[in-house]
Amino acid sequence: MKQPKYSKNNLKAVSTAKAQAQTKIQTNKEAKEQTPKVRKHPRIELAIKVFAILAIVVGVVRYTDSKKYFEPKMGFRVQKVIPAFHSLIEKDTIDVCLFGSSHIGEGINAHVLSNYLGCTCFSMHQDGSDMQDVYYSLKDVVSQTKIKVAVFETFTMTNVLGLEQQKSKYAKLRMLSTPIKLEATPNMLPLDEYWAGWSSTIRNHNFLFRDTAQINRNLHPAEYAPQRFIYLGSEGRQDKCVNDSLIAVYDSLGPIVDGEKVGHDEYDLEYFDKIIKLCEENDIKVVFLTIPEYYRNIKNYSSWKSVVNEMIGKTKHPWYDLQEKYDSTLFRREFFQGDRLINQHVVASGAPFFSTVLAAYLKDSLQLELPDRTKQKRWHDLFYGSDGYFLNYTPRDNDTAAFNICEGRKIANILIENAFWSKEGNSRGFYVKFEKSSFPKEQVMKPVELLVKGEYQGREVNAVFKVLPTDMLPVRNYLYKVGVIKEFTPKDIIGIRLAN
Amino acid sequence: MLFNTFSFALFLLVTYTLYVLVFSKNLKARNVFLLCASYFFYSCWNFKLLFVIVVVSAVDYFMGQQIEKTKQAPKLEEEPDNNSETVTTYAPSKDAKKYLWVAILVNLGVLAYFKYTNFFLESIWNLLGLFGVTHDAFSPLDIVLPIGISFYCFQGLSYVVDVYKDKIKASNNPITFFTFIAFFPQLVAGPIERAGNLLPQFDKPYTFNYDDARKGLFMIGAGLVKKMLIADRIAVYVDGVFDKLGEANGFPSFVALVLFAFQLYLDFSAYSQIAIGTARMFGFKLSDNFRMPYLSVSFKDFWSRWHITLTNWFRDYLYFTLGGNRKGKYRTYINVLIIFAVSGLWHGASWNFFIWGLLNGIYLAIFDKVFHLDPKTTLTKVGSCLFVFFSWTFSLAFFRGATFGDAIQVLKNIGISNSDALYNYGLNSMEFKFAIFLIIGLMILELLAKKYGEKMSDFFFNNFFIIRWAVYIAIPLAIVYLGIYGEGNDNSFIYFQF
Repeated sequence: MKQPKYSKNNLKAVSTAKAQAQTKIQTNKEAKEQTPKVRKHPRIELAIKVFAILAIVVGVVRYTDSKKYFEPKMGFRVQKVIPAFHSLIEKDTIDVCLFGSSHIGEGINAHVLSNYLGCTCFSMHQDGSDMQDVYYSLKDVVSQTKIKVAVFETFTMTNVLGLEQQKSKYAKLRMLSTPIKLEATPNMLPLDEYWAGWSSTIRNHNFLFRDTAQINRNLHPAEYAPQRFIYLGSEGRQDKCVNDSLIAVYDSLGPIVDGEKVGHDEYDLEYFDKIIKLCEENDIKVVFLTIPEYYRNIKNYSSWKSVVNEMIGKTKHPWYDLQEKYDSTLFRREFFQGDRLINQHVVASGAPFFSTVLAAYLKDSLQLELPDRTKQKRWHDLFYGSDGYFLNYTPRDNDTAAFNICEGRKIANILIENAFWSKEGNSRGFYVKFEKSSFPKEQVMKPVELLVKGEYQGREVNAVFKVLPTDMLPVRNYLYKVGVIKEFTPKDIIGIRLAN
Repeated sequence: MLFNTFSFALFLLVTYTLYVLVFSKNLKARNVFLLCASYFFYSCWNFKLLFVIVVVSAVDYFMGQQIEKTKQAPKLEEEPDNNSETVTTYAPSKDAKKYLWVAILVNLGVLAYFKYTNFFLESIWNLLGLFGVTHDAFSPLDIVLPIGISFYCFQGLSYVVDVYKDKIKASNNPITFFTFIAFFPQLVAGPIERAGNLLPQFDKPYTFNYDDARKGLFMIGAGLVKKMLIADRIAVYVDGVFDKLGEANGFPSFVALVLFAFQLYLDFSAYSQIAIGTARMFGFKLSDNFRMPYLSVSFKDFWSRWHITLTNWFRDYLYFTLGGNRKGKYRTYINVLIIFAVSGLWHGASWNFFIWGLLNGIYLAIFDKVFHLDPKTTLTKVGSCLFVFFSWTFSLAFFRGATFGDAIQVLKNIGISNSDALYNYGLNSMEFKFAIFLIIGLMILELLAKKYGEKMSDFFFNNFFIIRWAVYIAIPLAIVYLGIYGEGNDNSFIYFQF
């Protein structure tokens, strides 16, 4: 007889079996927890897991690096210089490359230099550079393009800044191309900082708490797109120049830089030698340049000079020392930064002056054979309208922002190489370039009166303009300038009167 | 080479790979390899001062051997036990005592020279100054303090004392012994191991254990999170306040002191955790150094959870030697004060550390021994826990203050005013809150760990595949993205200076 399905006995039996089964499951579970899992290849398994975790971490970091989420402000020039260099060499060849610290970055305007030399110049400067930074920058440049002249600024050869020079090594390393970066890493950074040198995420991870605004900008780059223009590595950020109050400070405190306290070490010497060797191997003309500071900022300059000369003196390469050749008439105090600092810079208005001085030295004194690219359309397109272009070349035909007034006109034995009108923002400028050899030496840097024929409110008129010498020292001419009212359009120069 | 650096990660990777694949097969080769690795680890900091470790190790080894030899013809004393049966106890000979004293003099002499010379000279100089004998400021001698000297000298000394007391046999293998003293995971900041625990482990052959390696790695990761995410972040704030004591009146100083209590705990326990984890990977089991000290309900309880290996060392080798609690109530109090004052000086050669130690001795003597702080109910336990924590925090003013004046200044500053200035000392609001959030999270984890103990970690390691892997990946990512490291940060461990 079939037993009823849910008899009392049956239920008891079922519940006992259930309890037994449960106990069994529990025992199995506990046993499973207590018995270590048998692994066929535990070492390989562990290694694979560890490397898998590391790979994921590296992948995530590389992703945030590639997205540039942790990049600092693009205003930081080390971040700008090398990308600008790469974009430039895609379009043009670099003939003259400037290397050094912020002194050359601020003291030489590469646009003006390019326009006076008629070839392409680039300022591969980096803040707080030392000789090691310069070496790797040079190596990076040489590995990618063929330069003809390398100008090395001498501030990098001394330890004036001390540890300050180490500040942006991460960024400098980061911007080098991969093969050079591989070579430079162990030399530039201690072992524990390799990662920071290679990854902006690691370098700037603190942005997550301390600069969320920058991360926000990096997350939405389109909203903060930088202005596109040709950038040659030069900066002119300083505009506060030496004034009477600073002179009073110098009167009471004296100079801040003492040449007797400046030195260099074996490390600088080692990289200096490497730089010279690399230049010689690549047939690059080497020029050393000292960008001046305001003369009252330094004492015992001769000691400083002898320190630098310990390096440069070993070579036969020329050294253009503008600190030693300090000309207190031409080197106006407005050219220098208005702070009593250990690393005083040239200001934005001084850079064009020293650029033209350097250009004249390279072209006239050293008589370097540099290619004339002014006739090349590509060069012309790249530089037309940039700083210093109109000051050295004739404006283009049919240009709305600038036009030529006269060219090759000789008046009273003075040759006007070129005169032109240009629009600069809301103001109008009138420039005249007098050919140097025809210009009376005693009149240099003195105002000149010009009789100009022009159009004023639809009528033709003759007007006298007093033009003033500019801070530019073009290679072939003296440059004079005056502002004109927008209602007046100059047409021709018909007379010259020199100051008495 | 700090544990929280890329160079240590590289060192560990290379050493462990060679250890597992090449040197683990032969016991002697393994120990030689570990000794070389340990000496290399130390010499990365200062190659010249490696000789101090070698000298201390050699003296302790030799004295241990000599003491052992005296045991070959042991004097036996008979002591009646409770059942009136006769048992024999080892009685050291005079020669053994002589060797013991040599070891004590060398270990403490080395420690005294490197760590306390300038302290004693300066104290004498200042004392003479009080009587008008000296006028100028004291110029310290140029003595470099070898990292970890307090730790390895104590470890070596405990070995010789244990041999002398016949608790262990002297080591016959110099390689093993030298490795025991210099074993890199615990060389510079402990845990201070007893020879009875660690030395025999060097005589056991190593077999790779997946679980040990995994758990060791996890401990290293967890230690780095504690150190780099929390302790170093708090340090920014604490340093900010202590650098500007003149202006940090009121609440910021109070918060700084409380946060320093957490910084000290997290920093040192992180170090210990990494050391234990590293040793575990290599197949060694080191002693625990911390057991949730901030959940202590009495001072005795606290000292059984804080820097356990050092507390035990002082208990076994100094407190008991002084008579412990067997010589009457007042002598017990004095003994407690002595060991805490010495413990303070062990931490650092300054009167601040002495006061810090003494204060903690007074807490223990008064509150535990006189008032018998022994809570029973939950409410009194919580109250006692807070009382112990804040008393300890108060004493830390002397631990953290660079001078006695700084310590007094920070205590004077404490108040509830000026709370608006909380974010003026290096951490902005978001970072400050993040640090507090992490501390609370960690405390909750510790509470859970207290309740469930090993079961919790076993459960974690055997279940929740996805969560476990998420944690494995989150740990290094958190360190990279949220850790405090890089330019301008001092990431050294606090106890490295001792």
